[in-house]
Amino acid sequence: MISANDIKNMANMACLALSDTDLAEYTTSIDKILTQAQMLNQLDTTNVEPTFTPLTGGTPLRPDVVKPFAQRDALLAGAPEISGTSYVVPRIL
Amino acid sequence: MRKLTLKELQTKLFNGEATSVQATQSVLEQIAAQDQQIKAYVSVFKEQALQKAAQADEKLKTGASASLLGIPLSIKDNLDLLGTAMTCGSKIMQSYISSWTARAVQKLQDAGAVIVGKTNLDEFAMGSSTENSALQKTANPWNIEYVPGGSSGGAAASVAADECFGALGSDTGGSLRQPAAFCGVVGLRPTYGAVSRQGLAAFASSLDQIGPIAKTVEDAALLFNVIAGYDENDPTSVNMTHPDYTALLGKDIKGLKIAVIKEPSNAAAQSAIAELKNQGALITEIELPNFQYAPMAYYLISAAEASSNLARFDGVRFGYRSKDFKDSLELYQRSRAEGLGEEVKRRLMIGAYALSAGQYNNYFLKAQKVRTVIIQDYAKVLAQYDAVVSVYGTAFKFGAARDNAFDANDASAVTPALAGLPAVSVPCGLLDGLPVGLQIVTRAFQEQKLLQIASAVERNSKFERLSL
Repeated sequence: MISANDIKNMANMACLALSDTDLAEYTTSIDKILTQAQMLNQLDTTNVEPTFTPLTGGTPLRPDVVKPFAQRDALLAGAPEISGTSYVVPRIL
Repeated sequence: MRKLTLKELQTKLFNGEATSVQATQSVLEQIAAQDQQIKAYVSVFKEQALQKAAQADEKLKTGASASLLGIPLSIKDNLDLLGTAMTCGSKIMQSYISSWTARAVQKLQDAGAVIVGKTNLDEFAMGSSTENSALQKTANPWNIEYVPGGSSGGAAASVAADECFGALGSDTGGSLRQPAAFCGVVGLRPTYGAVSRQGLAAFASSLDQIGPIAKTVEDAALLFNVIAGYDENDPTSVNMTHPDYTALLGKDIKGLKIAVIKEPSNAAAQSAIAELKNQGALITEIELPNFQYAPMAYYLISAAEASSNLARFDGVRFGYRSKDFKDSLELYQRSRAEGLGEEVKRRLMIGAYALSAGQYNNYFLKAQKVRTVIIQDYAKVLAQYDAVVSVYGTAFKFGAARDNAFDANDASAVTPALAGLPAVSVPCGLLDGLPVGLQIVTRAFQEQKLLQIASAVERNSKFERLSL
């Protein structure tokens, strides 16, 4: 059984503010879904390996290399608030 | 002219019997006439489209023959197109302008296509009715009291209503095939890795694929020919040589072994399967009991991946920012809470929970093990048969989303996605005035055979496309 406290923790992990109305609604709907999810335990998966990608050979990797990007200014222009070439966020310290 | 198929228009353009400007005007007029009711499009690029069409006509006069030259298409609004708004059906994407063009869209443009507009979707592609869009509700062109399916509901509706000659959408757990089935058009989910996902707003990266929605199987094959291929910017795209996907269309299917999943069916689907048998296919009914677990496994896996992918929406670098915050954490939490819709937030919370230290084994890992079982089941069946066939239900009325989101139809939709297999939905008839779609699945990278069987469903079919 999922409690309102569980939902608060989930919202915290998902970085979401919830109103009291949201909290009540999500407590009901998420409890229903996670209760349904228990059906998966009816399938015996002992000795079954998980599959994280359908690609044979697993997730491909590539070097983390910086490349020039032609639309740099356009990227910055899409931010809610910028200063010069920086994104503006609330003071942290 | 708008009623032509993509192939028919291509022939007329190459023969000089029509111009791209005429074709583009015909779909723009149809959008003006129909889209106030259908609401398939969230943006229409009238001037740019006519300009591109005029340029295409100049090239056609010189004998240029790029495969999509001058053909008006739509793209789903979770695909980037440089310099245009991309909403993903979400308030949080408010004022977002794309700084690049998705690789698949670029390939359409390189092949000469005219992009007429961007189509509506469930927010971040999470849904199966397009009712979850924060922008507008798209109606099914067959009956506007019914949903068009989703999440590529706008794409499917735009094709069904002749508001374009073909479309690109995306499919995470059925989002191309189910709306195509509901709207009486063809939806192709390619093998995972066949098409670059670069420039597609990520929902669940191990499941997302871009694919075409088209008026006919041949049109879907023509579009797939263009968008298939490796892209170094998407390391999950597979580096291989792609064949001509139109090559086997019209070839007989005599001797092909087709497994039909035993499930509730209807007269239209039964008639289509009987017709495959008439054409020489060897039909066997099979049961796949483990598929009942697939919708829940899909839900948990996709929610978990979404909780990671959508962490980027924080009100800092792009999109919506709350005006009500006193520190960074509140900025993130309130921007996300105010900018994202109810269904997306539910999935992000469930996804974060499924990945959390205490719950990982119970939910995420368990779901990924179930995924392995689904893959093994498909491998066993497709070792014996050329294809697996199942049936989509018909569209439902607005607000009538099924209480149980994990029913048999969803199993048809999600199982090929979990296994990374190609699947196509092809219309096979009507039930109570609404289209019925037959789904076909083959082994990975066997889209030629997949489309061969789909074209056999089309052949001799009594289904007639909608005429508005």
